[in-house]
Amino acid sequence: MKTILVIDDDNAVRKAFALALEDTPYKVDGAESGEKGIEMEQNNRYDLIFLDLKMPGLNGVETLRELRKISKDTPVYIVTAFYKEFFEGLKAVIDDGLNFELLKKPVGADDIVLVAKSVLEGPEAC
Amino acid sequence: MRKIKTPRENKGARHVKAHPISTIEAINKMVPPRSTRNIRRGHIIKSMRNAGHIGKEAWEDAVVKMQMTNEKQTFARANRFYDALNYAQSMMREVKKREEELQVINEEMEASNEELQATNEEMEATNEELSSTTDELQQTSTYARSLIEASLDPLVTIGRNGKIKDVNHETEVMTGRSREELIGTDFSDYFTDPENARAGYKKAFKEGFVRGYPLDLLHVDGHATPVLYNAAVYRDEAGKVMGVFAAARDITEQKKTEQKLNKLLDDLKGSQAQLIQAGKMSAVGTMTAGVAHELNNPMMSILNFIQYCIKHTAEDDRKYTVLKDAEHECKRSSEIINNLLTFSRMESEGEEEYQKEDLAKILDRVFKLSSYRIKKDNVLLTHHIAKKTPELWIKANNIQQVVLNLINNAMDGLEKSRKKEIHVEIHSEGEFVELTISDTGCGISPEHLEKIYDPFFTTKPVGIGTGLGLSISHSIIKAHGGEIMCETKPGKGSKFKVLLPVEKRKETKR
Repeated sequence: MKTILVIDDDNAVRKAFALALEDTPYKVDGAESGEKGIEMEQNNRYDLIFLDLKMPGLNGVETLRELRKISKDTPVYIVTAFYKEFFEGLKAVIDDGLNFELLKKPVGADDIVLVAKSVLEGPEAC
Repeated sequence: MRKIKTPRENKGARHVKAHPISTIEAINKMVPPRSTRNIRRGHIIKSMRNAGHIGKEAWEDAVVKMQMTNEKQTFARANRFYDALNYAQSMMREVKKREEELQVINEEMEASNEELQATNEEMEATNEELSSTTDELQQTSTYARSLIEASLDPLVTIGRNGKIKDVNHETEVMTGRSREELIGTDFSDYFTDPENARAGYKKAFKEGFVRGYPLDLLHVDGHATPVLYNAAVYRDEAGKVMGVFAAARDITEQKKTEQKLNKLLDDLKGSQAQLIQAGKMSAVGTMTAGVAHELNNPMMSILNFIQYCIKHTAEDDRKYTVLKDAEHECKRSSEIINNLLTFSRMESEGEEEYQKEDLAKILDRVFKLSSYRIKKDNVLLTHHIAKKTPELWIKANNIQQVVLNLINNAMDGLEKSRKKEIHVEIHSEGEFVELTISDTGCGISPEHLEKIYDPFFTTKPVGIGTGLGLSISHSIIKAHGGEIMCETKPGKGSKFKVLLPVEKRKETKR
């Protein structure tokens, strides 16, 4: 079974992802911080990660750098409404050859499912 | 003088040959001249000649007597002659004396003459001196007058009675009246406030002077010149106060500068108030952005929760449509939040890259953003986008902000208009794309028109306008190498024209 990790300090957001993906064949896990997310990735190696940028402790950019140390190719979708603040950091991440995708908040259920399916099954699956 | 000898001395009358018949002959013959007496005596002598018969004694007596008589006569004659001579001599002496006196007088006169000559010369010299002194005086007077006339300040002397005694040319210029008109008239009549003018004059008399006394000098055409008066009393040789000598300084320019400064100060105060306002707005903006951002997470959650419910609700269930409405409203809220973020300061501060963008798309986004207000204010919004309008190299968010500002301004101007219409047009104009936004609003007054791009200039009530919209818009368009222009008719409406270059502009550091 394909697994998805949602790293977001906001429980409601994690819950939203879980509900949206409830009827999909994917297993959805949640992490309330960057540190927790890294730990979980280390233990489980997820197929898709949704990552928030603005979090207490490690922020999204720092978390991404750590995640990329664990696995280079796991698709990571940074979900945020407010990336300007992290623009420089993200630019540096790109310059360092680390890849990620951006997903703009708020993301509805359809979009979540769409992203999950296209990443995990390929575009033709949608 | 020759001494005439008496006959006795001259050997007596024997030598007398004949009786002279004239004085000359008498002198020549050395005998007294014949006179009546002589003639009578001659008779005697004749008679005596005839008296041959007279005895010798008698003869001798007679002779003696005659001799004596002759001698006496001769002597008398001589004396007379002598007297005459003496007289002549004294006359001569007198003449001589007179001559001498004359000589003396003459000499004296000559001396006097010399003195006179000298005096004359002295007088001539004095005269010359006087003449040159007069010339000098004349020159000094001319010089003094020319100085007074050359003065750029109006100068005036006022007598004890308050009447003008003299003025210079500048006074004529500033009052528009001739010297002849002014002299002899009351000086206070030529000021806007005669009472104040008289008070200054009295003060000068009382204290000896006044300095920087402000008055307004009245021109014959009615206009007034603000002046500062310096006035002091002047005296005659005895020290008696004759009147007041006053000089005015035209302070029109200073007044203008003062007014400008005051206006600047007012503007500055206004700007300060606006800055404080802008600061508040900026704080509000920052807070709004923060709040909007924070709202995103719950909005996203709510959206997903609703969508979850929809998914698990049968379409024929009454709850289904309600949930669908909830989803719609939730999406609308999200969009509002998104737009708030887009236009918030925090969003615009980020560096945005130039990208190819269709102006029509931006316009569409702005219309969506404004749709709520357009409906609420009952504004008729029309637009026309010409076909084949090329895409532009622009910073899309910045241009969107400009278009939104212009649309918002148009709607602000429409608030009190009966006809509420906004028309937007986009078409190519050579190497540019032209966007015009025209409204039927209140328009912009000419005195405001030149300030509309000034930062913090606003005619909107405090709390509504920041005075930054058009200023920022202007900066953005300029940064794109474009132009923003305004045509307006107060009471009829305004038209803003934005020209944006089609080709990519080399990015310049701002």
